[in-house]
Amino acid sequence: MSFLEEHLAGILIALAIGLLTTLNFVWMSRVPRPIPRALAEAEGRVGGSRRIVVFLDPYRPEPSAVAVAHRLAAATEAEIVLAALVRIPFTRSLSVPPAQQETIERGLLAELAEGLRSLELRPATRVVPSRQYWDGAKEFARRLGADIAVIGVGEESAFERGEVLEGLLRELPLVGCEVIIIRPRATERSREQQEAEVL
Amino acid sequence: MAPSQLRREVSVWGSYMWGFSDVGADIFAGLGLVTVAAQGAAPIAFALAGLVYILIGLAYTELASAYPVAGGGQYFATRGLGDLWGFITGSALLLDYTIDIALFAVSSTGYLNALIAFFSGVDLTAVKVPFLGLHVQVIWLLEALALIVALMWINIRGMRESNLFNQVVGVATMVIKMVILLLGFVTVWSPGLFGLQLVHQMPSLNQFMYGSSLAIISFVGLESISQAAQETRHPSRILPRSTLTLIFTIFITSIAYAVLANGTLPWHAFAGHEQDSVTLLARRMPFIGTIAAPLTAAMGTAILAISANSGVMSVSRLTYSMSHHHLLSGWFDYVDPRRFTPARTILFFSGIGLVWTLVAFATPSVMDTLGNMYAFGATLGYVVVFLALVALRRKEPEVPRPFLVPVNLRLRNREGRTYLFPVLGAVGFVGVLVVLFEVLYTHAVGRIFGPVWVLGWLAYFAYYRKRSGLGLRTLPRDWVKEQKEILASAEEYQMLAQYEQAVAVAANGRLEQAEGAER
Repeated sequence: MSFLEEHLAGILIALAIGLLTTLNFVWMSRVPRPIPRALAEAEGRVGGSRRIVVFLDPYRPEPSAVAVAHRLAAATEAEIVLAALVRIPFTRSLSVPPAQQETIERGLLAELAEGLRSLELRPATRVVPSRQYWDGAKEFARRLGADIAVIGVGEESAFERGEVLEGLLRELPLVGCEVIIIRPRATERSREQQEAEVL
Repeated sequence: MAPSQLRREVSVWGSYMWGFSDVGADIFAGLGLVTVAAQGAAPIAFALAGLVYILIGLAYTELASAYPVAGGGQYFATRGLGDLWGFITGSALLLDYTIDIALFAVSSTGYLNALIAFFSGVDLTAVKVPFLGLHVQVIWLLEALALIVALMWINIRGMRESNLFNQVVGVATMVIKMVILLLGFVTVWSPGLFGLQLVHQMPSLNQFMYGSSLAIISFVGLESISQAAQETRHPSRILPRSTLTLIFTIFITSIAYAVLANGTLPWHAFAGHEQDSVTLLARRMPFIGTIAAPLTAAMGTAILAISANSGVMSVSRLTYSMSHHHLLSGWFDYVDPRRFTPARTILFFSGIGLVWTLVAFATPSVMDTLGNMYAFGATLGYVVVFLALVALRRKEPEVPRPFLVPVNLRLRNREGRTYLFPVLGAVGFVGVLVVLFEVLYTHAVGRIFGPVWVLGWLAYFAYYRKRSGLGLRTLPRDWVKEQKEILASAEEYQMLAQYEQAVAVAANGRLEQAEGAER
């Protein structure tokens, strides 16, 4: 009997032990990298969210903002509220909102909410009238106890103006609300179209 | 030692080597003992003890990565079950570490004597002096005592150097251990002899129980990794990997060594060679045996000395944790201001190790006596650790666990919060309880001295707490604050964020519950 035949079983056992042990050490040495503190804290803040509010311009809603809120809510089991921010001019009284306009806004929101049923999402809807968008948003977020505000800056929406966005970004964190800005994808409008508009 | 003095600088390899230097050496001490006791069924004894060890290892992996602090089993028991259980576990571990010092010092010098015998032909273990009707192996005894004193001196002078020494020799031993094992299977292992012994050399039930309970000592040492958890960098990522790798490698090599031993030599050839069984095995190898045997003896000497050293190191961390939680007097917490070493703890507990060595040499079988006590301390500690695992899952479901013992049942605790009941933890608890029963039933020394040791320390606990005016009940502690501090000091920011969030949600839930009750 040759050496190989005589010791075949032992050789096979030795090979199996060697291979398994090596693989084990390779697995051990590949330790995942630690997450930086800032990222972990941000994850923690988002992970702890219980209420997410999506601020929309009812006349120019940005659907991708709702989609982002939906993803966040799915991960954190938070509830979603769709809030239409409506600016009331100083010439009108805040206490007597124009009924016709509010009906239209409510209708638009309800329409948007209805469209979300395919995602098995039934968000609460609110119309938030205010003199300035950021004041209304801040007060609404405070009363709601919102943890995250997703702001959909739709094409030609009222939020596109720099001062409005700046105000929302400034005021909402004051009530402990993280702000996420969602803009439409650049691909939605072709470069040619954009250039044509500029010209 | 203040918590800040335990710096987090242990890497994944450092963590692995910390455990390996303790548990990796066990086979050098345990192989001969178990083979002689369990005879042809030694691999089965190792496999059964190994299965229990895997479950223990999984529990330690979960607990050490969720609570990365010094103290190990004692800390988990204090936090999960209260001060009394924490103290009982602590006292069992103190027994283990002091026995660890004695057993491995004796075993290390046993291998040293085999090395001397290889070169000079003089067997120093054969030099005996009559004492109280026994023949005491006086030179071996003096060698073991000298080694313990040397380790005390090294550790009192400073630990950093001894830690580096641990790692270097640990790596060398790991390589040689694997080489001997693999070459042994390739060159001398006979499936025929192995099968013959497995079928025809079965022990009696009593012998098998004795052997399998001794086999557990080949797996003792996982505790060391959790003792070093407070010094490990990013413990949530490193500890699960180092611990699981240690569990797997030790499990597979221990069983493989038992299979190799029974397929190379008849089991009774190990009788009288319990202290240098791996050298005996290496000597059988053709051609390389002349090199492998002295090399194994040298490595056995070194790794077992390191194991004894890890006993000295770990006992200081354990007593630090125990005195921090008012389970032991602050006297044990003293740190030498010049050398920054816990000199009192080292002197006191290594001194107990010296006493164990003297006592063991006054019995008919040195290794057997120490093995008995070691098995008792380890199994008692593990029983309580399993209880602590269940209790902590139930009490603190919000603590993030980077590793979870698999197979769980979703249950609700008293506050109505959901927690995962560890089914494998319950199986492990029963398994360790069986081993503890075996130890108490079959080990005459462990049956008497083990409980006496624990009761003696319990009397000290009662005296200390009464004298300090703390009482015997569990002291109120802010575990939430402590957990946040632990996670922040470990730079586990993700876990910290998850924990803070879970604590807030739980507090909110309790508030809502209270409001609902009021309404």
